[in-house]
Amino acid sequence: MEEKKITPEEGMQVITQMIEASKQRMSMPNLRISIIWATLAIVTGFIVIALNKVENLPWVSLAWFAIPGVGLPMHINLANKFDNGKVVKTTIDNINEGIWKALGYIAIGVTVICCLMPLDGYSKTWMLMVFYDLVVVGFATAIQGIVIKQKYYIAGGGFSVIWGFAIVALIICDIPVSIDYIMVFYIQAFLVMFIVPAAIIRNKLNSRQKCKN
Amino acid sequence: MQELNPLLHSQLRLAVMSILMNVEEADFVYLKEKTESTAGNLSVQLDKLASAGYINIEKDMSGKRPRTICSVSDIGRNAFIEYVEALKSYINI
Repeated sequence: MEEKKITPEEGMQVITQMIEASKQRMSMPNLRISIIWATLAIVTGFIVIALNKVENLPWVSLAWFAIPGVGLPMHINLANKFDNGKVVKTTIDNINEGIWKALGYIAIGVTVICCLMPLDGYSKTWMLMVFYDLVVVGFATAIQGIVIKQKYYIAGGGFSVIWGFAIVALIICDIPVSIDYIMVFYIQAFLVMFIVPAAIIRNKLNSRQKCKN
Repeated sequence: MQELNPLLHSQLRLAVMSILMNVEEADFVYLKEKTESTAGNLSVQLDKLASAGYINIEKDMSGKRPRTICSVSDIGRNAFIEYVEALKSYINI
């Protein structure tokens, strides 16, 4: 694009073209990063179920640290790799970044509470993590869906929030729920919240790209 | 009929401003790709927009690579809005 004088019509055309061009970024990198976190959460969930079957010991819970332990370096690495260093931020990006940053800090706080309080004999503190994983993350996902106008994230987040409240209600009412069932709900929620919406959006983007070509 | 702002009434500067009006911030590589311009030309036009106070340019490092991040300023935003209004009067929208 050269630095040349233009007619008013061409001016309007340039504006329209550039607005269109900067809108074309339903960002795949963000989808991939969320898929990585969700996959890690799901795989760790399966590992915890398996370890619980083999050896029902409290140290099995330490397996959950695999999520931040593996996820954080992968997140940083991928975030740096994508887009070949291109950076563009919209208001929506900033809102999303804020939501997930806040969630990260809450996760750290919840993890510390869940690790420390059982040492004092409060064995049901893990319920807090169920609440966080299903209700808080579900709510954040639904909000993200509203912000980026993606109904699949809204539906997935809503599904997770409902599962989360149902499980917490059962626990509060002292209705026995097997930890295996809770883990299955947890895995389902992460599938529906992140993997399914990302797969649908990816397919849509790919077919849109094919149509263009 | 309003006069068209000569600083904005140029293909590349207008393209850059149109993108920046639509995003919070964008870096040099992104602007270069979207406007399909050369690095030298884009650099000159960005300097002109920055000198007029239409855009803010921040330089930082992304890993080992230097990065130039641009965002539109309030003055630039108002100028762009006025420019679009003037443009509309020319083409009778």
